[in-house]
Amino acid sequence: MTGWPDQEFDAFVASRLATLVRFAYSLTRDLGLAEDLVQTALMKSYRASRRHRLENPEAYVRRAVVTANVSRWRRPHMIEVLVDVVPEPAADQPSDRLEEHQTMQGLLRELTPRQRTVIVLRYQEDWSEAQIADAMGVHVGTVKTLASRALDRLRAGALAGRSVL
Amino acid sequence: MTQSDEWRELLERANEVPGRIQVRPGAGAVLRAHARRGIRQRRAAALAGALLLTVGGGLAVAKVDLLTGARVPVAPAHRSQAVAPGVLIGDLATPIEMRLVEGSGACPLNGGVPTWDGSECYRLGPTQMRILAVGRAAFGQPAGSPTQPGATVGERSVISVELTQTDRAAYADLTGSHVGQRIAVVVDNRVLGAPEISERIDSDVLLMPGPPPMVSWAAAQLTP
Repeated sequence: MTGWPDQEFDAFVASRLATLVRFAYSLTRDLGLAEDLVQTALMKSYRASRRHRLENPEAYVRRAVVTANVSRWRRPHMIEVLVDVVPEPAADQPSDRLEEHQTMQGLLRELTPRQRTVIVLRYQEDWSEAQIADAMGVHVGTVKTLASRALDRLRAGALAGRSVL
Repeated sequence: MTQSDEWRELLERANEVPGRIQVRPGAGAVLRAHARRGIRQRRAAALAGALLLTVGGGLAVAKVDLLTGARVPVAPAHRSQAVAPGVLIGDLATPIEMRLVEGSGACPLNGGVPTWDGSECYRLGPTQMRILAVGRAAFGQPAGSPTQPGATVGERSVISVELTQTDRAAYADLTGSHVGQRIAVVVDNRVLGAPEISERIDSDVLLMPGPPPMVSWAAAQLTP
């Protein structure tokens, strides 16, 4: 089959869009941007499905989200500005976890976009280093370096009196 | 619990999206339509807000009054706000057509197209552009802030239509090459209004002010 049947595409969007936006938000920590990336990725994937069969549509779309995000920061005129607003924790958040939650958020925000991408894909999404390297368009060695630096920074933050791990 | 499970849990909690995400009905169709039209990916941002009901962040758009060409100051519209009734997205039930005005007079006018309420008739040139689908259209009801779609401006009600990038470019070309002429906005072979083009209008959002009955009439025609 080539070409994503309309009904299947619509059903996929209806059921997976929110999850995909959450995924993109993990990478960007900006909801508007996350939405844009997912839109771009879905449109690219829909068009790609006419040329070749997508074996695993969701994996394809997720990879396209990562690629779209990488091309965004590759553009020289783009500067990432992270707005320092801590989102309100969910009401049912147990209070003893609140501090840890905010600390981890703070530490993640301090990472560079590339470091954050590697950490999220490797440890939250369980991608292999090879998959990450492929989606980001870098060598596996670069992924390892980025991951190790990011972990150092997270651990350093944790040691600085903020209990992360 | 293994260490990697612990990591995942920490990351997932830290990366939780503030607020609730809800997918608009018809989001897939909007995306398919845009993908088919081959809109360049980097312009996908034009769709912003068309897919989700509840998201954070702000969207600042420049709005231009269709009648005067004046820029309307717009504060960032928070997409997290509840969507007012009367907002539609995607395909219009009937297209919005733009035609140049060649003459006008009392009805019946030979070969003339009446206004929505039949108060006047226009002789019109051929259709210059046809808007089939919109990123967002809102009709008339006051929604708290004058910057929201569908808000009233003064005593009048407003139709606001978010254009696709293709339509935006077409409308900019059309207005740019016919400054000083009058252009009729036609829905279902009725003229909604026929403003004079004061300047080239290049904007994501078209505002069509008018009396509330006109706005209700247009909403009924355009909503599928």
